[in-house]
Amino acid sequence: MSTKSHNNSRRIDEVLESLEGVQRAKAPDFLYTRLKARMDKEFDQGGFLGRWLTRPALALSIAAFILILNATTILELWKQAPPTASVETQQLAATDYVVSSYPVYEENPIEP
Amino acid sequence: MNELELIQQLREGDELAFKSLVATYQDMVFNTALGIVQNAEDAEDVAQEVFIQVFRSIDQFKGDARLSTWIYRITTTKALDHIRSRRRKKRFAFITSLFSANDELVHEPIDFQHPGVALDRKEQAALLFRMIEQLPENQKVAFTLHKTEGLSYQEIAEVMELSVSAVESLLFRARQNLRKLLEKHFEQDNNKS
Repeated sequence: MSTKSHNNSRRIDEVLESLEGVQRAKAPDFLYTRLKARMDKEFDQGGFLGRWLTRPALALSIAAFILILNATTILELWKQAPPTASVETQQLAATDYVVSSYPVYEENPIEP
Repeated sequence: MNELELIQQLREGDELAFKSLVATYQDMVFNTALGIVQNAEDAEDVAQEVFIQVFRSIDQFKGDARLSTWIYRITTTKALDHIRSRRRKKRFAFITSLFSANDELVHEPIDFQHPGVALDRKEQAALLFRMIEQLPENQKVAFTLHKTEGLSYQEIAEVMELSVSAVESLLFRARQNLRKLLEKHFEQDNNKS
């Protein structure tokens, strides 16, 4: 058991020391060429306006503004009392649309 | 061209200055990213993102730290972002695989081999990188900067914007955690055999 534990401890130390003296990895060839191509592509695709409009801060601000605007409109509509028409308005409307109880039967009485 | 002149020319959008910056720092950026993301293709992707970020935000560089420190900072942030995004994709791929008709397995990547490790230590280093992957982000960054880039505690503290004692503590905890993970690994290994 103790030999096993000692063996494990030695192996752990070996693993922990395995990066001692590691050489720096070299960047792949033509990194700059690929980088430049990517930058040109991104610039062509987005353009200044596109990049500016898709900035997270701006996009979130616009979304928040629209939400606030919607909420305010809904609240304002909710606060307003339902419209009540005055008596004159009702009479005018009744005249316009002829919804009064015109006594047709009284003017032309048809007696059996 | 000294650092101040380089920064000034970068601010003016000079392409030659940018090319010179990439040539100077590409190995540093690639190696740092490689140590964190543990995949050469991903590390190149991160390196490209780092240089694009440097180009775009050179005006924000105040000059209170060295340019290399600032670039290290961007590299570690981008590399960690890359890992998070990779994990999200992995989770999504796993979920979609559960509902997909074909029973395709989600393949685990093979062990990462750092090209700068001596041949006789390749196996141990691969195991160490597998354990480093399980460390919390801050410990992973501090340990990688120390081991693969050979940065001093002071330099790591500047990159991570921490005190030297905080870095010492991070590295101590990283070693402790690695030791625990390796103990568990070797115990399982012993039980198998």
